[in-house]
Formats: sequence, structure tokens, C-alpha cells
Amino acid sequence: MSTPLCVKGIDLNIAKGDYLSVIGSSGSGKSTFLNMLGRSDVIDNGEYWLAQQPTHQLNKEQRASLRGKKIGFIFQPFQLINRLSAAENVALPLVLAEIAPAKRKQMVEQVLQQVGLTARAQHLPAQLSGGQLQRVAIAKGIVMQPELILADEPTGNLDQHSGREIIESHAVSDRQAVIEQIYQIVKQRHQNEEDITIITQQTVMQAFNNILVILTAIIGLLAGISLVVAGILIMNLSLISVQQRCPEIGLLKALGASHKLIQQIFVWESLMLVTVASLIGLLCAQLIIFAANQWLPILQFVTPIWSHAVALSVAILTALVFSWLPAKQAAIVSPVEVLRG
Amino acid sequence: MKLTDGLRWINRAVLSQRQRNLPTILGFAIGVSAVTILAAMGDSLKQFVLNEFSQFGSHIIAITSGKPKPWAIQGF
Repeated sequence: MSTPLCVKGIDLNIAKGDYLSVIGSSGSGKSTFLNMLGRSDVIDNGEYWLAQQPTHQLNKEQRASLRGKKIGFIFQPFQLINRLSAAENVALPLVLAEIAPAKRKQMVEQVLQQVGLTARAQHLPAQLSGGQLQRVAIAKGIVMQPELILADEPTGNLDQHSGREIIESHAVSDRQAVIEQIYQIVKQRHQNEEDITIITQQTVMQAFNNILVILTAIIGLLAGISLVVAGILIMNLSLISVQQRCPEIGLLKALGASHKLIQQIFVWESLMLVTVASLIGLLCAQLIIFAANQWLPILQFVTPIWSHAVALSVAILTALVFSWLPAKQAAIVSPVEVLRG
Repeated sequence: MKLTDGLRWINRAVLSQRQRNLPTILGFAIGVSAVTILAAMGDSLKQFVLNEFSQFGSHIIAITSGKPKPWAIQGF
């Protein structure tokens, strides 16, 4: 019986920094091809050069050493050791490459941060979610900073967001290098002209973020101003209220109400007013946002819950601060004078 | 004065001055809802623009002459 021919007739060059995807139906030999590139599978025929080194004639030992030093694997089943923590699992390739513990620790920390798992470093695989396990596997694959990273559906188990993040964290340094190269080429072709701007999506995003920061500041400023205005409104109202209700205050005092109680009553009045007003305001906002989402589905406004909490607490704080003075004035009303008048 | 009595007292005091309190409540409500809506708009606007930009993909690079100004586009 002859062994079936799995993959044949492959001829390709992969340059440093390339990002290559292999797509094919199930059973078409993707994994076999990856294993051949990773030199854990046998190559019957042909040549394979990795980082200017021929690798097709290496013996088992040499191949193992090559895998350890130049190739990073991100396996499809995670292939983590269950009794080792996430950090220890990530450190495994470094242990095998005999890297000193101090350096090891530093590299592991760095790579765990890259995949956003610093907080879970000491957890065992059983204590991690599927997505987190996948990220540990990815960290393990890239910790040696290998020449070649082989990934069998590396982001299959991740939510879309972290998937994109991982791919981008790989690509960021490469992109920087590419931009540097373009800069040099353009500079050379234009008689050493140094006034060159290279704009990538990132720089556009950066610019947009700058604009957003300014916008946010302006909104914040407006909110602050309206807050002060509202506060003055409350203060004015309370002051008038105190003046009008002098007899009432005097009576209360004559009947034995303390300074503190009078003060409390006025503060609580403002608080109640403002709380009711804020709740109405939040409700209105919710209704308007709901309506806007129906009319303009493309924008999809979302009110984060914290914004409600902040608006409410800030309004209440304003009421507290600005009703303090009127409440104090109410408290010092003399019962004798009021009742006599 | 007990808390419940106090609350009742305040409640009646506020209600008895409805004419004066209503505009205040209205003003406050408008202010609070405006700020909340602005916050929501800022957030979704950001998301919207980010989505619009990501449609171009991350492989487009534009090269122009002249150095970028600070706080404009921080190019290379």
C-alpha cells in the first residue's frame, strides 16, 4: 500500500513581514502544508529555505531545534499543559530554548500584555475561557519572536474584536517598517526631499481622535456651563422661597425646630426638585434617543448607563451645593422678629 | 421631625409652589436630557466614523509633500 500524496506542486516565496492566508476546503491539506512549513511533517521532495537556510535536509534533531528557534506555532486545539499556569505555558518555548529566568519572565510579561492577558497570568487553563485559552496559545506562539509564525485558524475561537487586535498587534511593527521603507524610497527619488507626509489609516484615525478629544472637551464645557446656570436657578428659587416663607420658618422655629432641621428641609426641597427634574430629563432623553434610532437607524445612539448615573449625581450635587446658602439663610431667620411682624 | 413627616412636609411645600417650581423642573429636565443626548451622540458618532474609515481597509497609504503640522495629522 502506498502512502497517499497529500500536498504537491507548491512553489512560493514568502518575504519577511508577509501575511499569508491559506484557504481551502476541509481535508485539502492546509494543516499538512502548515506542518511541512513548520518542519514537523516530512517533505518527500523539493527544497525549503527558511531565513536563508536550507531546511529540507535536516535530521530530526536539527528540525526540532529549528522549530524551537525560528518557528512559532499557534495550534488549532490549544495544546496547553493543564497543570501549568498561563504564564508558565507561554514560557515553555523559552524554557526549551534555555533562556535565563529573568529574561524569560520579562518576555512572557510583555507578550501577555500584547494579547491582553496580564491579569490572568497565574490562572490555570481550566480557569480560563475559550477565547482566553486561545490568546494564551497565541502568546506562546509569538513569545520567541520567531521568523515564521504558523497559525492553524488562530482567531477561530476569539470574538471578532480580539481577533482583529491580535492580527494588528502582529502587523503594527511590520507596518512601521514598511512605512520607513516607503519614506526612504520617496526621499531618494526626490533629491533627498525630507518634507514628506505618509498617511496611513492609523494616522487618519489619530487625526480623527484628536478632533473627537476637542469635541468632547467642548461638550464638557457646555455641560459645565449649563450646570452652573441650573445651579444659580436653584439658588435663586430657594432664596425667593426663603423670603416668602419667613413666617412659616419662624413658626417652625417657635415650635422648637432646630437650625439644622430648617436647613435640612430647604436642602431636601431642592434635592427633591432636582431629582424629579433629572429623572424627567433622563426619561425624555431616552425617548428622544429611541425616536432618533427609529428615524436614523444608521447612527444607532447608545446611552451608556454610566452617563445616566453621572448626569443624575452631578445634578444632585449641584442642588446640594447651590441650596446650601439659601438653607443657611433660612436657618438664621429669627422666630421672634418674624412672629412679631 | 421624623423622616416620613419631613418628606410629607417637603412634598407639600414643593407642590404648593407649583407655578414657580415647574419652570425650574422644566429647565433642569431639558439640561439633563440635552447633556445625556450629547453624550450618546458623541459615542455613536465615533463608532459611525470608525466604521466608515475601516471600510477602506488598513492597506491604503497616501503620500503627500510637505511636513505635517503638529496637532494636525501626525504622519510619519
